[in-house]
Amino acid sequence: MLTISLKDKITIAKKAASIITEGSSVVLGAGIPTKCLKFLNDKDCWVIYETGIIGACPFSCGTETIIDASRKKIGLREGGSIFDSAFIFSLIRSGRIKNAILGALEVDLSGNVACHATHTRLWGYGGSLDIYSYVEKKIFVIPQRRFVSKLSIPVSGKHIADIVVTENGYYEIK
Amino acid sequence: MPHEVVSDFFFDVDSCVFLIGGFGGTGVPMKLIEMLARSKSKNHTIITNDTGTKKSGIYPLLKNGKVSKLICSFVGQNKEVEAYLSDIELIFLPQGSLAESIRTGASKIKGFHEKILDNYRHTESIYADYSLVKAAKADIYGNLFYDGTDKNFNPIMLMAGKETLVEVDKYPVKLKLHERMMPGIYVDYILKR
Repeated sequence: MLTISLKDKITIAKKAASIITEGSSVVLGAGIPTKCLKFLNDKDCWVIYETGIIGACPFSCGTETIIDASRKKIGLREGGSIFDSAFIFSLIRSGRIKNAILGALEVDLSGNVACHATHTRLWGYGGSLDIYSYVEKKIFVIPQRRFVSKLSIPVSGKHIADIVVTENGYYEIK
Repeated sequence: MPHEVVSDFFFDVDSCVFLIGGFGGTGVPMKLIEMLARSKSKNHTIITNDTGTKKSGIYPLLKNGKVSKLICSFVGQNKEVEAYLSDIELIFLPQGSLAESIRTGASKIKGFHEKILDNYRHTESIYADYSLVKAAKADIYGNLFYDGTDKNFNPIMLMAGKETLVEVDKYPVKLKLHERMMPGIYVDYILKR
């Protein structure tokens, strides 16, 4: 699979974080979305990870095991907390979390998203379907080449993406 | 008070349903998984969030042919397991549905209706013969303390199994009231790492 440079990843993450209102709450997915954490932290946002964290920060301090969706060690912001999986998904499904920044294998111009499989490999949905179903604003951060006119791999959800951010720009999907 | 896990615990338990805690390789009861993988038992249904990593996850169970059915939300992080998945029945649940069906199973609620994307569907609760979970510390009463995000699926899985086995790093230790995250009444067996 073609890779994207770290510099481009940071550009995308910074742009996506700039869309989020200061102080609001955001679910971050695995991959490029985890790079948004630093920028969201600067905006005093509450970052939620499906690993159980409410209020993540990029710096690991203290002795507890705290990991993000990409299994990287991170920390808790002031006032942050950790709960179990059922609790976190109840929270995500409650509608209180208004924003999600997510990765995907492909997103097309109609906002259809592919994230769970290619024609040769199967990943599974993870927590993506819960987030697609219950979070208001879904921002997808993907390399430009994955933003396609029509999906070439199996669709995971139709008309899901509200905004797509790539290294080249920012697209609102109507 | 909980009993200690003996090494041939799973010797003659065929065709059982196991809940196994962990998320992406963290909070995984690896010693218990290895014990089950080494046993003579077979034909099990495994319910776990994901297949973890090669070193930390259910890989030994797949490799040793213990699994006939796997219910999970994600298998993508672990390339090693791919070869084994075609031989077993594989069922994907959205992670929130998986978590909720374990929680309702623990409360003996039969199932629930939920909306996934634009469709309403009925999801059956999950019940299991055994729960294999990981905690950081336990006191002599089996009260458990979890370390950070190692918590993940472990508390709800502990509640949903008929018999529960907990793998802990430190046992027995004294736990202060605020450290007792799960009551020992749920804990049948303890294995010290």
